[in-house]
Amino acid sequence: MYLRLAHSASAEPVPDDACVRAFDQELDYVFASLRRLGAPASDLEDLAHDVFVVLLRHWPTLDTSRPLRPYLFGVAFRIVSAHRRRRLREVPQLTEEPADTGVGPEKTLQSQQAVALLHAALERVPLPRRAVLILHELDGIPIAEVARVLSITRFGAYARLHKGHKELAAAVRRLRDHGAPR
Amino acid sequence: MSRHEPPVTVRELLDGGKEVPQQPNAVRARVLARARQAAAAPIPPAGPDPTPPTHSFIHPAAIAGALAIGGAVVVLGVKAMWRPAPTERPVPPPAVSSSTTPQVERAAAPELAASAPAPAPADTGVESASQPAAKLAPARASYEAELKLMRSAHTAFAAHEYAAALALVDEHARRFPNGLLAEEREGLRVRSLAGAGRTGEARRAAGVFAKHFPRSVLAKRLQAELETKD
Repeated sequence: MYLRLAHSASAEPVPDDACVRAFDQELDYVFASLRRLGAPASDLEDLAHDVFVVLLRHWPTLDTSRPLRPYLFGVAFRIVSAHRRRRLREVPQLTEEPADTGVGPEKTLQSQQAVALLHAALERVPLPRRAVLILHELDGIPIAEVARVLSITRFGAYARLHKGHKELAAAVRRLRDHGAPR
Repeated sequence: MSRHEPPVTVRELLDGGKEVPQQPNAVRARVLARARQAAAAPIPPAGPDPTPPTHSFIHPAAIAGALAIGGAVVVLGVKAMWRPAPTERPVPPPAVSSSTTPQVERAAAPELAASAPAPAPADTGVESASQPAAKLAPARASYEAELKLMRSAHTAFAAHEYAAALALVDEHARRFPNGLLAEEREGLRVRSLAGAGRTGEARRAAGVFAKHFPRSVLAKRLQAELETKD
């Protein structure tokens, strides 16, 4: 079935440049989401392209009246999950240098350290709960929308958020006790 | 983080992490160039979606179907040779092909349809030669409708929109309870339920699937997917 479905998918109309423009507008967000979800810095560009390919394929049927970010996060979440499964045997990279934010050197250092600590702590939270934390706490997405994007119940989203908070706090404590990455 | 760094709470960390850093222009240019190139090319048939590798279960189904039909034909041929009086025509293939291996054929039929433009559903070889085109039209229309529905369900599943996928699966079950894609539909139901975190229901659906399609090549795969959910 899957083979045939894949063949017939090529009959869909070709999306216009609007898809590329939308992706351009959300490029920074896609990178940030991939990074927060634990994608290795060396793979970010390839994974971002994978996100675009999915967006392009679904663009004709996508409801563009809704905010694009939750959808993009859902795609990024799925792509990172698959990527992690492929790299299951590899040691996770916890200490990646955050991107240059363009602020002053002292503030940059502090903010880089804070971001590195946050990323390292998030890395220690299991992916399903990490996704809820990122979507709700960092992206400010309402929990109902979080539940919709991740295809879970609202109760499930709250439960994951609650447990994710505990795990994140524990991870931050552990990292501080044993020294943060870098 | 070094020891002399001022302590920050988790809340402060989260607040500080809300900023979306800008990508360097070079990175942006590279990624957008790739995106434009991909947009200009024909839409890829399959994305990076971790959907199952198709060949692993398509070929066994097709091979199993072909072997079963071939075996049945050989057996009937031998029987016909041993008959004392040659008063009748040697073989009744339609009855054999439909009664001996209904399950295997079901799995193989959609794939045959994919490779050949002719509507494979009710095609048994002997009948197709004599059936008028008008008779085949409703079957083809029905199959196309089924396919369209399942395509939408699969697209929703691939986009992690499990609720939508399940709604489409239900619609398919309502409109085509014994459709040609019933097996795929029930398989997708199990996967969608599992994807939505409804593991208990997914297990029950997998049990029903195994009962209805005991020889399905999808069964093992569904079981493996459910195990990974644990």
